[in-house]
Amino acid sequence: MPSSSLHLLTLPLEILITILTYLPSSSLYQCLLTCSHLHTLILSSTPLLLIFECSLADVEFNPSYNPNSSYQCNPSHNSNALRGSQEKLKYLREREKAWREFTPKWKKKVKVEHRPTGIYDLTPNVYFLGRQVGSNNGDFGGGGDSGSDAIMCLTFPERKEELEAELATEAEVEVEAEADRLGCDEKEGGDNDVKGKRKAGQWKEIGLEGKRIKDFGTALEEHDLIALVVSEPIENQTDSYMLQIALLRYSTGKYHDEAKSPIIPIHEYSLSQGPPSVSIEIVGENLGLIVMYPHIWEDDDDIFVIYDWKLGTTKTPTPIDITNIGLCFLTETLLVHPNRRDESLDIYHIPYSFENQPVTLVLQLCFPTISRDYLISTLSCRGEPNPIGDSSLTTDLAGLSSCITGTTSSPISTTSTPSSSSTPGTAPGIGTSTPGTAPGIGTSTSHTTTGTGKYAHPSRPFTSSPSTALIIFQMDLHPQTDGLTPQSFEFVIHRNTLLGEVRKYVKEREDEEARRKENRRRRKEKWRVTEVVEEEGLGGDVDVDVEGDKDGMDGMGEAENNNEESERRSIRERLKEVQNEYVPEAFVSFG
Amino acid sequence: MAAPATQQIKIRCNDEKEFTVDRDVLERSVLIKNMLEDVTEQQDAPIPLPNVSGPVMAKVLEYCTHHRGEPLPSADTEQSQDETRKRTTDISEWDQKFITVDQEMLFEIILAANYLDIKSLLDVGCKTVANMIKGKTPEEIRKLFNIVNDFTPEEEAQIKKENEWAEDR
Repeated sequence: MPSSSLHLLTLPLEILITILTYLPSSSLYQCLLTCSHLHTLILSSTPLLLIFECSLADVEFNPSYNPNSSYQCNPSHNSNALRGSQEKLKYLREREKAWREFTPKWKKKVKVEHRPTGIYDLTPNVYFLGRQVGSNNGDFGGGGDSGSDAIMCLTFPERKEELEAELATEAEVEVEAEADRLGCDEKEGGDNDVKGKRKAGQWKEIGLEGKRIKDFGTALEEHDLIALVVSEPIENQTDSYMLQIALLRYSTGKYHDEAKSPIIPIHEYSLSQGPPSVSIEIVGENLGLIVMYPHIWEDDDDIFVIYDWKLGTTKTPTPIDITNIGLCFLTETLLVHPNRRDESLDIYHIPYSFENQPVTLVLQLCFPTISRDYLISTLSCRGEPNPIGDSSLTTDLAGLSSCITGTTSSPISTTSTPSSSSTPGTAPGIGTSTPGTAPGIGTSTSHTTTGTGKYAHPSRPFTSSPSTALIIFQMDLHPQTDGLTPQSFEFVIHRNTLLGEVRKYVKEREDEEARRKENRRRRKEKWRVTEVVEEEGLGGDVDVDVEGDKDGMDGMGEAENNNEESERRSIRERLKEVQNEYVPEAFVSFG
Repeated sequence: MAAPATQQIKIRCNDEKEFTVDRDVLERSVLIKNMLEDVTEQQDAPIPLPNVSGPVMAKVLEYCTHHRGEPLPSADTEQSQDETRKRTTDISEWDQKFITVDQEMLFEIILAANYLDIKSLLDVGCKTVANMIKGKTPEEIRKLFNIVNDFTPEEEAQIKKENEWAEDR
């Protein structure tokens, strides 16, 4: 063809559509306005409409959604029910309609058979509720350390029929099925059926003998991980307890095989300090933890730590000073902590472990003066779902293939196979670890599966978008003058809006992208090395560091701490200037 | 040549330009791979590629040579990637340098990749065009790609109104 006629709009339609599918909806909108050709094309193309409507519904494609997976248990049902964009669009529109009108497809009541404690959580597929100590055997312990002795987990069924066969319907707590539960044919894979665990609609118990659960955090979709903050009595010392983090797999209830040491000690505490308040969040390799003893004013044991939960190391060599709980990841490497004392939102940067740098405070966004008559007494936040860590996004094969050039004959090539190739009966990221794996020994044989099947729910074509999730801040105000009553406020901001504000002041390093890729590559590398070592029969204490010298955390010497201190100070000074002109939109309503 | 057994294949472009290439490099193209599989006997006649010109083919071969030995996406993974692809427009450093060409060459490469069925190259091309569009206003897009605005002001206002919700997303 004569090359002079080459033009964007003369490209074959399917290519033009492919190009447009790479655009975010905001750019699609701009294209819509350029000319009638693109306007017609976009509004008549189902894949492009789908991008628009996903954006409107605040959902993202589920990267591990796989219509061909073994989850299909009913062959008479159209096995490709949600295969094409057309079906997805239909599904999405029905889902949105159901939410809009709040007309769930069905409801079911589930009985709570244990005495619940105050700790709970809700993910798209699981409801968690703490069980009071001794409530299953009538022995309430008679004082001593309080807390839950187990977390009871209720997996939501995907289909009504799945539940009906199994359950009585008397209820104290009503668990309503989400409106978006259409007739997906998910059923537990063979492995899980054999174990008889995780059956939809049945309470499953997660806990550790002899340990009291104070609180817990989850990263089910990303890591199949539930992290319990537990206490254990210290021998020969009355009223003294060791506070620890226990890292478990949700699917098996056993210690998590990706964690080098599945028990991370936090510190000792005594009953006289009162029960601790805990904030815990997990994204990627990072586990953020705040423990406070609210009954004691400015307790020395109040801590804010960031761990690499896989390595069991801390990224906060010098303690971070805090006065209240509450933390929320904006990205894998940026975290917000609302600061009661400074009346601000503090933004921390968390480097990857391989960078060997400590966590630093990079920005404080200050609230406008709230009132002369009040002081903030409590301040906390939460925002769900959490973002997915970059190193876990292994479904992005395009980016990866460039990172692994030249090593294709190694096991890496199998690691990078997307979850669609997982064998029948094996849910990605679920149930493939060896049951009973002893703590402290990295002997998992399932790196390939755990490395790729990050999302636990391939039966759903969409997942809620972490970037448009609301972060909810809760604030209690205590009056400073007589005659006034305490006040409470909540304010909300979209994660990406807050992130946008933060990025106005915090310039992300130019090599950010390179660092992410490096991190991904290293993760790959580690899996590979671990596998190789195991093949050689070394088992036991596998050291997965590829480049021990650069990778170790030992290098965090004095000098760096000093640097951090001075950097922190200078940032604070700089921020003071910024703060004068900075009034975040979201807080204006406080006035 | 490290591997003496490497088979050399001749191809001829639509401008009579001929290339002699290692078979494994050419087989990055699923079209040619399938062609070669159909042919059992050694042939001396070059494979005609009537839809690709010499300069474009040279570029394509540069890409194929760089990426030789990498696993080709199987039909299965290709499917699932299409379905569930995280719509990232990340392009690796080498590919980015490689695809830094004028617009016409870019479109030529995309068309050739489509014809020769080299999915990874097609992706790189499409992502590059997408990256050119990203963050631009309609006017900037028109200017960049030489597109004529055929809307009346009334039509434009109407479209803006109908799609208001999408604007800030």
